[in-house]
Amino acid sequence: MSIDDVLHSAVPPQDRPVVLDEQGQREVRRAILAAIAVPGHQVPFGSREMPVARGWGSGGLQVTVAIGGSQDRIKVIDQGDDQGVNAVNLRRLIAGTLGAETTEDTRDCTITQSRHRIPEQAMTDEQVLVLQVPVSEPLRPVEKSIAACERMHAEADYSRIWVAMYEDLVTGGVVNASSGYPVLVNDRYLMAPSPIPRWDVPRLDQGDRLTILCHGRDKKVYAVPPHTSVRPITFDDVPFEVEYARDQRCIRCGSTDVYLVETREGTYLCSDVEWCARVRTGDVDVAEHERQIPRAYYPDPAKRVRGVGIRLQGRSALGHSEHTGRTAPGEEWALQVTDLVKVFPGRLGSSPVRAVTGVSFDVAPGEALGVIGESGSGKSTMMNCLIGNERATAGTVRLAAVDDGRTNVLDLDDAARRRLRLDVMSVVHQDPAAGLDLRISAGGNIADRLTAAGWRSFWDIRQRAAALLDRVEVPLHRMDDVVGQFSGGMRQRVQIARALATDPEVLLLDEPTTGLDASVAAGVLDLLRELIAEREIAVVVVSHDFQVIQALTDRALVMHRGAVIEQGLTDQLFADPHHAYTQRLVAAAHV
Amino acid sequence: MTEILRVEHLNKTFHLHAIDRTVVSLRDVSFTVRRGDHLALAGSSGAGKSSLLRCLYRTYLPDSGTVRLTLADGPRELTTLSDRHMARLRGREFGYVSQFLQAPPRVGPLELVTQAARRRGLRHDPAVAVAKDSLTRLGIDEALWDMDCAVLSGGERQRVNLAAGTVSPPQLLLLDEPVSALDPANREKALALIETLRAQDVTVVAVYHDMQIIRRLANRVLVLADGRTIAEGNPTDVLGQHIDALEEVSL
Amino acid sequence: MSYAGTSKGGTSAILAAEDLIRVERAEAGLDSVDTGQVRALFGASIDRLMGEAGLYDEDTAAAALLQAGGDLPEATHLLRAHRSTLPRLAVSEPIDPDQVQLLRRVVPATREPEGPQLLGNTRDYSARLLRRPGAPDPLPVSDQLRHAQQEQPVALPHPDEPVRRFSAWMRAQDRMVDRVDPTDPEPFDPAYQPVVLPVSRSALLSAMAVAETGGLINMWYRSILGPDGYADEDVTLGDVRHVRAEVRVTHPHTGEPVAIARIRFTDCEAISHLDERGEDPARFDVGYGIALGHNERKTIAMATLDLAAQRYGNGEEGLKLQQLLMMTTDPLASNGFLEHLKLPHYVTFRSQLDRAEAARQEQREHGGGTGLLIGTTGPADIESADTPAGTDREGLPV
Repeated sequence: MSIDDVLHSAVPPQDRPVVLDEQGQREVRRAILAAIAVPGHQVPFGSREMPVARGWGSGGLQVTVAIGGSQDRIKVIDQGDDQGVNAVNLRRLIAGTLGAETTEDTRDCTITQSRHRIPEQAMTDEQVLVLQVPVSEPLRPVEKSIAACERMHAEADYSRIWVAMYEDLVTGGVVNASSGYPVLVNDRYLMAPSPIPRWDVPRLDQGDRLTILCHGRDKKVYAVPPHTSVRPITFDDVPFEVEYARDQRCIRCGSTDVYLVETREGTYLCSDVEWCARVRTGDVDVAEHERQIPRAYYPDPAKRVRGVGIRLQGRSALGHSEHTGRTAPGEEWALQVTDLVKVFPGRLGSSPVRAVTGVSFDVAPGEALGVIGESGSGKSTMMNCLIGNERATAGTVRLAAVDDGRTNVLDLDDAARRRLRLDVMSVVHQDPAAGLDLRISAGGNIADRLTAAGWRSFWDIRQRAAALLDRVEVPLHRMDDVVGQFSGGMRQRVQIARALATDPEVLLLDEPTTGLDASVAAGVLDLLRELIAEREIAVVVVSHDFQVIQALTDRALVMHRGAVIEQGLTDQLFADPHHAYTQRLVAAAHV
Repeated sequence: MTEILRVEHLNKTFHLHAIDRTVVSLRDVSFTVRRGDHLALAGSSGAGKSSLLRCLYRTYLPDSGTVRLTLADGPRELTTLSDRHMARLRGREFGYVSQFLQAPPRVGPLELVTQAARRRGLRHDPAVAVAKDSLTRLGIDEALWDMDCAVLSGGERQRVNLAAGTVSPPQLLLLDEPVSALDPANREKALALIETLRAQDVTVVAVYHDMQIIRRLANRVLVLADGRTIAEGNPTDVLGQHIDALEEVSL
Repeated sequence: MSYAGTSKGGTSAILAAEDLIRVERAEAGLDSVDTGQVRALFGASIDRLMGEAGLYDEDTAAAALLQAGGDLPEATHLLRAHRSTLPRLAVSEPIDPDQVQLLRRVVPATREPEGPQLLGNTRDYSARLLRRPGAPDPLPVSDQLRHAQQEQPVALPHPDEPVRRFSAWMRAQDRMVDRVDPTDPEPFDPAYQPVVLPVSRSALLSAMAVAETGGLINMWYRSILGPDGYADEDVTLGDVRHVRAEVRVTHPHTGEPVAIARIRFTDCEAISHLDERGEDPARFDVGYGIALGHNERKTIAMATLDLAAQRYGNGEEGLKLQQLLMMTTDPLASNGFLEHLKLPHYVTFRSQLDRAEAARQEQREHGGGTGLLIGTTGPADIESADTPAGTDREGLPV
C-alpha cells in the first residue's frame, strides 16, 4: 500500500474536513472562469481564510479545492519537490478534504499544485497546473499605488517596466528581474508568473495545459489557458535569459538541460525531484522533454548590451528633419482652442473662480504663440486644460493630428488624453520634477517616452536618447546619471529633450525658464529658440516674463483675469501696447 | 514700374494710460512706392520717420488708414492682415533693419546671418555661403564670426544687423538709420552693400540722417514734419526746397 | 457618578473595578493558578512577552500574563515596569551566534545548507482546523502513515561542531557586500540612551528587538501593499533559528567569563540582491533580526527592516524609515498613548466646542458661508481700477 493510498483511505467521505464551503467554492470557480476568459488579467475574488496561513498557498489551495473532487489525482510540489514539508502538508490537507488520490507522477495527475516550479514533465490538455502566487502585481516594483497599477493594466500602459529594464541595462549590463519575471500574456496583460524561475517562463508559452495562478492574500486569480502566447518582457535586441549553469549536470541523474539548484559544495541537483528519479530509472520521454528545453534563451554574454557595445552618435543622428507639420484639412492650424472656459466650483471655504472665461486662439506648424500674463491671470489654468491636467468647463480644443481636427479633444476620456501626450502633444513644465522622474537616468527619462510610444529596440532607444541629449547639450557621459543629481538648468534641458523625443506636433512650454538663474535661463531660452526654428512644430509658450515671450514667439496673447485682453505681433505688443494692463506689464518689464 | 506699396491716410496716436496722455505721431500720411524704388524718409527728429517705418512693419498698429502691399501673388492690406500672415510675410518677403542690433545672447554673427538666410528659404549650406559673403563685404573680421554678438563694438553690431537684414534679401526692405554708428571707411562698405540691393530688384524704404546718403542712394524722398507729409519727389528737387525742415540734420 | 469626578469618588471607582476582576477569577476557582501551568500552556505568549518586555524570565513573564488576564500589551507593561525596579548588575559578554544549541533551524534560501534543516517545534505545517477538546483529529495520522513516512533521524556528521550560518557560506563565496561599521562598536541601550536621529544600526536593532511584534510586522507589510515602500519585497531568508545559548559575564573577582544563565532566542537573516542603482549588483546584503524566546514572525520582519535600513542608509528615505522604527514600534508607547484617549478629555473638548459654536454663529449671520467675499463685488483694495467689464471673477453669483 502506497502512502497516497493510505492518505486517501484514511478518512471516510462524511468525515472529511471542509476547508471551503460550497458557496465559497462557487465564488472561486466563477473567478477562474473569468480569468480563463481574459488571459493574464487579475480577477479579484472573495478569498477566504484557509487552514494554511496567507502566503503559504492559501490561494492555490482554494483553487484546487474548488476545481477538484474525489475522482482527481493530485500532485503537490514545492520548489519542484514532492517531499518538501510544505508540499506534504498541503497534499495531506487537499487529499483529506477532497477524498482524492495523490500521486508524485506528473503524467498520472489531473491537477498539480505547485509553488515556484512548472514540472519538467510536459503536461497535457487534460491536466491543470495550479500555481501558488505570493505577489500577483507585476507592476509593484515600478508603481506603489494600487490605483495607478490598475489604470496601467486597463490602458496596457506598461512602459515603465521597460524603463526599469533600460535602467538595469545601463547600470549593470543585465536585466535584474530574476524569478517571477514579468511576461505579456496573449499580447495584452502584463502578468507576474508566480515566482517560477526564468527557466520555466518559455515553457508557459503555448502550453497544452491550463494554468491557474492564485494569490490568496491579495485575493486575485488569473490564468493562462491552453495554447496562449506568453512572452517575457524584453527589448527586441536584448535577449531574455534563463538560468543556466554551463557545463554543470545533476550529481544524481546527470541531467544538464533541466532547472538545477546549487548545493553548498558548488555542485548541482535537479530541482524537480520526480524528474530526477525517473531519469535515473530511464522512465522519461527524452524527445518530448527536448522540445521543452528553453535552449534559445541560454545566456550568451556576447549578446548582452555590453558585449554588443554599439557606439553612440550625438546630435548628428537626429538628421535634418524635413518633416512638415500637419494641419487640419483646409485650415492653417495644428491646434485650435475655441471659447475655453474653466470655472472652479465654490466649496465651503472657497468661492467659485472663473479662472478662464472664454479663450480662443489657434497655432500653426512652425509658429510659436506666446501667452503672457501675471500669476492669477488664468494662463496656467488654460495650459492645464490643454494638457489635460484639468477638465475644462466648456469650449473646444482641436488637434489636426487627432481625427483631422474634427474631434473636440476635451470630450476624450483620460486614457485617450494621456495617449495624446505620448506623441502628439508634449509639455515642458516649469518644474523639471513635474516632467521627469528624478530617480532615473537622463536616458531613462527619454526611454520612458519612447517605450510608451511603442519603441522596443534598446539600441534605437539609446541612440535616440543620446542624440537628443547631445542636442540639448547634456554631456553624453552623464546620460546614465540619475537626473536628481543634475543642476536645475541641466534638468530643464533633459525635460526639453524628453518632450521632443517622439517628435510631437504640438509643444506646450509652461514658464520654461522660471526658477532658473538668469544666465542659465538665457541658455535654455537660446536652446528653445533654436529647437523651435529647426522644427515644423506648433508651440504655445506661457510665461509671465515678456523677455521669454519676445525671445521665443512671433505673436502673443495677453491674459488678464481669465480673458484675452489684447493680442498681436509680439514686437507690436511690446512697442505699442494698447490696453492699460499691457502697458503696465511692458513698463514693468523695462525696469 | 509697378506699385508695391500704397499708403493712404495713415494716422497713429499713442494713448499712455498710466500718465493719461495722448501723443500724436502720424497725421494723414499717404504715398506710394513702386517696385525697385529706394524711398528715403527725411525730416527732423520727432517728425515721425521711424514711427512711419514701424507702422508699415506693424510694430506699431495704425489707428486708421491703409497700407497695401502688392507682391507677385496680389495685393494685401497690412493693417488688417492676420498676425500669423504678417509674421510669415516678415520672415520672407518683408524685412526691417533696426538701428540697433537685438541679437540673442551667445549667438555669433555667422550663425545670426545664416539663420536670417534660412528664414528666407535657403537651405543650410547655401545660407552659410551667402552669410559669409555678406559679412566679408561688410568688413567683419572672420575672427569675430563665432564670437558672441554682445562683445562686438557698436559699429560691428550695426554691420552684422545690416548683413542679417540684407542677406538673401526680401522684396521689400525697411532700413532705420542703418549706417548711423559707422566710421567713414565702414560706412562706405555698408553703403556699397545697400547700393547692390537695387540690382537685386529690392524695394527699399529707409530713414537716413545724412542728406549726402539720401542723394547717393534714394531715387525718391518723402519729407515729414510733425507727423505730416510736407513734400515728396526726387531728392535733388525736394531737399533744396525744404532745407528749413531739415536744418537740424544738415548741421 | 462620573469616572473622574471628585478624588474620593475616583478612588472608590478604581477599587471597585479591580474588585470586579478579582471576583470573576474567584468565582471561576482560578485565583491561584500556578505559573508553571501558565508556562506549559501558553509558551508562545510567554516568549513573545519576554521579547517585547526585554526581560528574560519565564516565571516572571507567566506571572505578568496571569495578572493581566492574558492581555499581552498589559503584561508587557507589567514586565517593563518591573524591569525598571531592577538594578543593572553587569553587562554580558557578546554571544557568538554560531556557538549556540539549535532547537529549530530552516534555511529557505538553499535546499541543502551546511548542517541540518531542523523543523523542530512548529505549527507551520499543521492544518488550521479548529479542534474542540475531546473531538477526534479531523486529519488523523494513522499508524500506517507514520510507518510509511518514517524518516531516518538526521544524523549530523559532527554533531558537536557549530553549524555555519548560510550568510557565512555566502560571504565565503564573495557574494556578500561588506557592512562592517567601525563607528558603531558598542550596543545601543534604548533604556539608557536618548534617541537622536540619525541613529546607528545597533540602535535600530535594539529598538526592533523590543518592538511590538504586530507593529513590526505591519511596518514590513505596508511596504508590500501600502502606498509607500521601504523593505525590499524580493527578500529571501537565510537561517531562521530558534536556539539556546549561555549568557556569560565577567567575574568581578577573577576577571574570567562565567556562565550565569541559559536563554532561548530566535534569530533570522534576510538576504537581498543589491539590484538598486548605486549598489553592487554582483553581491547580496543581509539583515539581522533577533528576539528573546521563540518568535519567528518578529525576527523575520526585523531582519527585512534592518536590511532596508542599511540599504536606504542615511538618505531621505532612510531617515524616514529610521524615524518609523525608532519612534513608532514600541508597544508601551503605542498602546499607552492609544489608551490614554480613554482618560477624561472634557476640558480640552470644551475648548473645541467653543470654536464650533463661533463658526456656527458666523454662518447664521452671514449666510451659507464660503469666503469673505461672498455676496460682494470684493473690497476696493483687491479690485483693479481697469477691470474689463464681464471679467470680474470675484463677483460671480453663487
